[in-house]
Amino acid sequence: MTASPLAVGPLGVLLVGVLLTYVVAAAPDQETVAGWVASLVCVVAFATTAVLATGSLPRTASVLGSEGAVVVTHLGVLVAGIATFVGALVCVASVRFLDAGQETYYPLVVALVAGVVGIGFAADMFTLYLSFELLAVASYALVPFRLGRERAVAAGTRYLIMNVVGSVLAIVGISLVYAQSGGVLAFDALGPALVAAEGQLVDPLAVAVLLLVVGFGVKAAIVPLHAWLPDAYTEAPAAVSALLAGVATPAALVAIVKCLAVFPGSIPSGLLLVGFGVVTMTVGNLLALRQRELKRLLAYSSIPHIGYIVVGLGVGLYGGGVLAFDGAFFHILANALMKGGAFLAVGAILYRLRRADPDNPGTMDSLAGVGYRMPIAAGALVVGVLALAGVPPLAGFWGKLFIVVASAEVAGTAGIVLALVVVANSFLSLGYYLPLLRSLFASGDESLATLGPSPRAIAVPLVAVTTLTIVVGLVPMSGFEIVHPAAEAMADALTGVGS
Amino acid sequence: MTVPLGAALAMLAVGFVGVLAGRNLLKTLVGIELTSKAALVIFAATDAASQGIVVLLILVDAIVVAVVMAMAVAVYRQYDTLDLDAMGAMSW
Amino acid sequence: MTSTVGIAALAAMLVFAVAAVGLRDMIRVVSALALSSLALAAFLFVEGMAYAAVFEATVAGGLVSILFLLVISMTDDDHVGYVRGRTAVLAGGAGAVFLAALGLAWQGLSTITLAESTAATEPFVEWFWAAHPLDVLLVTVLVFVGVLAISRLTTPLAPPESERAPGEASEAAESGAVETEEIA
Repeated sequence: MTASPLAVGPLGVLLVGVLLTYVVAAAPDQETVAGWVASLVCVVAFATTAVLATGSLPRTASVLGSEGAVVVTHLGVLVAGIATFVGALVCVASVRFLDAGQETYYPLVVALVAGVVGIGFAADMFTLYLSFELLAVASYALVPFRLGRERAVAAGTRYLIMNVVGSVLAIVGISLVYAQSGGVLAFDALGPALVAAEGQLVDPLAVAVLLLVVGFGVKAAIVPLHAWLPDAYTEAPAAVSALLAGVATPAALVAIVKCLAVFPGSIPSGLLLVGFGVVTMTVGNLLALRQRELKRLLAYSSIPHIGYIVVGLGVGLYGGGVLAFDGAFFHILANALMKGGAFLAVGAILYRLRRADPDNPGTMDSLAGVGYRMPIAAGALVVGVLALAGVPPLAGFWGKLFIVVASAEVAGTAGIVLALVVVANSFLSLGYYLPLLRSLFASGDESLATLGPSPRAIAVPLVAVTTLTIVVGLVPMSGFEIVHPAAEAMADALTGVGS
Repeated sequence: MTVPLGAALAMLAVGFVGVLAGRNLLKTLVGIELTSKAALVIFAATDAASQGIVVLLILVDAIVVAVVMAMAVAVYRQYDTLDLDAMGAMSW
Repeated sequence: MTSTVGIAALAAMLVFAVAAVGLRDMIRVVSALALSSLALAAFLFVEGMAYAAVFEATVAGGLVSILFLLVISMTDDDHVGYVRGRTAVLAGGAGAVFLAALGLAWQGLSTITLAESTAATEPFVEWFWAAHPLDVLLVTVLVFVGVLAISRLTTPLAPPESERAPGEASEAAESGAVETEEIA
């Protein structure tokens, strides 16, 4: 492991960026400038991450004299890259859409991104927890950001209560790990330090695994801990929904897998995740089938994608090896692009619809003809939705394919059944994605004739995300090259624990 | 270790009852505050070197509690009550 | 092995916790919560973690109680503009505890060194910083972000659209102030 000061770069830039963005935003009438500053902070952090990714990994850095405080792994680079990229797009998309008196928006967005990057780079479980809390606290204010809406406050309250309890469970889980390992929390030292208490009625490590999965699982919206998600994504500003669905919930999954990877093989953490994953994708798809409201439909459809990723991670932890992690990490990457793009597109569409008619319900029926009026947003939504449904050759297809193949390979008949469940779920999701596409391009409503095109600030990020969704789909090797080192490192670490 | 661990888990249970039974947002918050002490007990009972972790955790808990309270203020302004049932925030 | 005093402290913590959940009157609930925190602080002290004990007593026991009382008085259904009798007495008491504990913290941080830490001879602050620099930084930023979150959540609301004069509403719609929130 090489040491280099650059390793603190991305996190350092973002942490300073929180303060910097706030200073700019607090000046009178500087919301737009603050938006650009926040975007710049994310871009610089992304560039630093990219430079790190090209060097030899894992890399460590000492922070203020303490060695190994940050460990830049392949997985960390992947997470940080996704977070800073989506973060920058979200900041650009939000520019010009803020009122005076909303100076806290951009610092909170940067803080959320910083939290995700911290989760990726954390060298021990406590740092990981603190990063998770940074993400969480920022999101507590961002979800109910439209405070003037009654439902936003209710959604924010439910989100807040569930996630605070989740955080508490996670830290109790970490404290149990600390107790069992005799005071070790660093990821690279935990493997040997943790020995399962075999033969005991209740293994403290099994309890810790359960607490960690449930605790972080609340933020990840694993069914049955998903109750906060539909309202929160529907009521949050679209850019925040994009950030949460594309970056924050997958970050919680990364937190789970980083923690579970250090547990000894005798703890059935992989099976636990597979079980949760199957329930999550099936229930999520069934719930989404009943939705008529555009944004709510997208919110519900985030749940099955969490499920696919969880199944991939679970199969990987169970012994599925590199391929399963390839699938899970590829889907994390694809999910960020697809969900980020879809929510931003929906934001643009609802913005225009509600500008034309403030009482527009935003249901699928009220969308008729939007596709002809707002080609960029509608096009981005079409690509995003098709990719989400797993239609080849878009980004969403390959991750699922890897997960399906890895599942089928790992455990005989049960594995094949699992693979079939994933495939069946993909087809199930077409049941709600296709009507959405149909209504976008239904024969135009006269009242929509005056609908303006997508706002420029959103059009640019939309084009970027959509292009990437297509490129990563057409040339899966490009995405594969990004995620494979992380998957390989994860699989290697696991075999290290097993022996 | 058995006694502090038992006490921590009991604390978690008591706090949970508070979270689930409380109709009032502040009462829920009391439950949350109690559950968060469970981790402190386990850390402290393991070894004294965890003092740094415990101190930081106490601060983090205080921030989270303050944010929940700010949420309570926002809820009260919007609904004129902190009753979670009345505002429908916790009906599944 | 936990000492008898430690076990007694834990027992007290649990008793007060049960009381905090069981009681109905919010003022009593907050008192029970504060006492539970103090019991935990005693446990931490017995375990040889003097600083953590001070933090638990001041922050979790004192500061949080004061915040609770503040929010209770702000959101009381029969809202009065000032803190009422019993609340005022309790707030004063909590404030006194807070100040005393703060003084204790000052004393502690400046003189006491850690009994059984990895760096027993160093003052706590230095040892703490050296052991968890990134964690300290993260918590510092977390405090700042928490303040931002609180300031956002407590921002006074603009009057809802339905209560605005018609002209006002259309003006707002024209400037984009109403729907802009759709995106950010």
